[in-house]
Amino acid sequence: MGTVLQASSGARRRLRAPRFSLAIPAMFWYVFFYAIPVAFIVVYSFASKPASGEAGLVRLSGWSFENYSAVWDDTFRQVFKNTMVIAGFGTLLCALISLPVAYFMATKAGPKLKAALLLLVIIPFWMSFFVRTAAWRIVLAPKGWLSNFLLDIGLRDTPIGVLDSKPAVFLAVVYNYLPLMIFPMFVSLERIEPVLREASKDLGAGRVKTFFSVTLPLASPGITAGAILVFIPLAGDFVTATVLGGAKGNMIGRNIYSFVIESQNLPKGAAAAMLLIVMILAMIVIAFTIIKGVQLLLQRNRAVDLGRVG
Amino acid sequence: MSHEEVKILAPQGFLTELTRRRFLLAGAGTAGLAGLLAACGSDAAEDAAGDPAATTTPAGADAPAATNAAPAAPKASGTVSLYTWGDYHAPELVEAAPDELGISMNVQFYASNEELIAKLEATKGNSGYDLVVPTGPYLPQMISKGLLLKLDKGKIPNWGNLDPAYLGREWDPANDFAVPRDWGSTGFFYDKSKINRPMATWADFLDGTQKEWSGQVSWLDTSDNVLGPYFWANGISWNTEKAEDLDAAEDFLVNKIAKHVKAFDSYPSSKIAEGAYIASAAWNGDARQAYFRILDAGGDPEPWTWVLGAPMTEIWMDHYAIPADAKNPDGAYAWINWMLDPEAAFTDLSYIGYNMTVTGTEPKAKAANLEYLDMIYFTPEQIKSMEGGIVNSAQDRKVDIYNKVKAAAGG
Repeated sequence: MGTVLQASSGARRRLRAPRFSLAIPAMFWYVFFYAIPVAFIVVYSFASKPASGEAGLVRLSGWSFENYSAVWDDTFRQVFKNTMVIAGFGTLLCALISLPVAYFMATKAGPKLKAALLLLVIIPFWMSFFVRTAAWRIVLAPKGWLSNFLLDIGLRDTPIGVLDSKPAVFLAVVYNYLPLMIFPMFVSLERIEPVLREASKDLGAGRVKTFFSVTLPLASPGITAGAILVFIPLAGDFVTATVLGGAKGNMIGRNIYSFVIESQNLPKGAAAAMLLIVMILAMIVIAFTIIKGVQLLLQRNRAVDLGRVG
Repeated sequence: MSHEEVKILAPQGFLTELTRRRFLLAGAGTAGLAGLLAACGSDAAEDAAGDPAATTTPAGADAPAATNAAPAAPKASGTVSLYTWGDYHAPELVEAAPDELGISMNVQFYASNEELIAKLEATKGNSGYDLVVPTGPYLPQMISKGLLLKLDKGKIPNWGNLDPAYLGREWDPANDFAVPRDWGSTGFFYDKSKINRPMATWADFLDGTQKEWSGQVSWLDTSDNVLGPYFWANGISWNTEKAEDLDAAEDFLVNKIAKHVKAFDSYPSSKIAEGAYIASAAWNGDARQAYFRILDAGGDPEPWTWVLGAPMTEIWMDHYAIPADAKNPDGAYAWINWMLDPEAAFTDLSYIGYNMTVTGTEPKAKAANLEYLDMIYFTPEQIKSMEGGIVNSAQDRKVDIYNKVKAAAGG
């Protein structure tokens, strides 16, 4: 064997593709469907709007920062704030609801139950998001069956009025984005060896202390991934919140849509999209800095002085 | 662009007065564009925009079918992709198309003319649509952008069924590109049992929104229709380009109205049936459908009342047009021709509830005693109070105001 290998090793080396070759399809996808379109958006954001009868969606002349200053007004800031409240609070709600679900699936459920639960989480994703969100309107309608039922049995005096309100916005958001949070959390929780929890117990930690000092820190990569997967698409979403939330679900994505479609001003929409990207990145950096800072503080307080113990 | 007072689509008397300059300009633009388009190699668009003789299909889609002889009746096959407004064609017609015409219809929807234009422009040459339904004032820009196919009227033998009153409008004076289909107006629809005073005008609508209807009223979801009620209530044209009018509208709508609006909804009929609103601004056909939807949902339509906007309100007219890059224009011609048949037009009318442009549908509707006829047909005085929309220099400003109103409503 050894000699055979030696004999052919030269030929083999020549045939071996470079290490990154498996990443080529992904890189193509990234470049063609992400990098190039974003580059176009960057270019467009400095261009100008064509006249009414002029062909094309942008006029590639008259370069300026005008689009940015036109976008950056009180309305944009106000809607951005509303968007951040919806996206931030929505992400938090998703995390709080997902954590017990993912924890149960990862640590308590047997193999069969686990598979069944995973399937249940993913099944709603097989349906158009619009249809499955709009279906809530049938359930929650003031003249819908649930409302009528509650009125009939006397649990309520007035019809349900939750549709087209802020709570309905969060219902829509949590309903649609929950699986994006559950999956990464589940994966990171499942990878934690049960022996670590046992060791924690052996060393005298109770259930609560074990969860907060061992399980949660080890699961934090999954929680972070889930938070990013929910927060970023949600900050750019403009349909989900309005389906159930009506006027209360106004988000910044709707403004960008209205610049591009209603005003027929793609350059202005491009500038708004760039501003949104930059501001979301800034929000994430700020959030991470705060989380890291808290973690550092906690670690410093928890540090055990080995010298004294010894 | 300078704008004198331009009115578009004033029916009956057709008291329209138009700056022809606008169309001369558009025409000049078209000629210039043709060269540009040719350079881009977009031959389909060039045919439509540049060469007035070009009436056949683009890019060899059907070499054998297009002969010089004028066909007696259009022969068609394959699938026709119809890109149109939501719930805007009688389903029985769409279902009957394979038997009737030998084509099957693939229907998709847009929410605004701007969306239609953006889609056609962004996918120029490859939009995949064979038939679209734009509103009059948007036709000049679609024509000068080279988005529409010049019509071969020889392929529409039923052309003579069109009521001449709807032909030759300012946006397409010779109807070279668009076939008028239907027209309608805007008003509001409310539940009498939830308010104990009569509501008759836009001023009432604004007042009700701030009082009894607060938090339970929907407004239409377009920039023009958010601004319209304010302008009409105050006797101002909704096509105003005056900065002080627009500023006053912004102030009123953002500070007085926004917080009371439950939703911005262009098709409120189904949500009215589910009990979500007690009053809604609506187009007449959609408000009429609300009656049927309330019944379907097991509700009581009796207390619901339709009010045509007053003292002024909107009028719009939609048209069939064929995109320059249509893959199956003969199928599109066949559909258009069929829709100009009085029977088909009546079927369509019974469902959508808008005035059709085919001669004789009105007596037919009256003879058949169609429900809620007063929501379809208007009195001459009402028609005189209607004002067509135009696309002008205030468009960006109007969208800004609309965004501000929505931001304030989302608070």
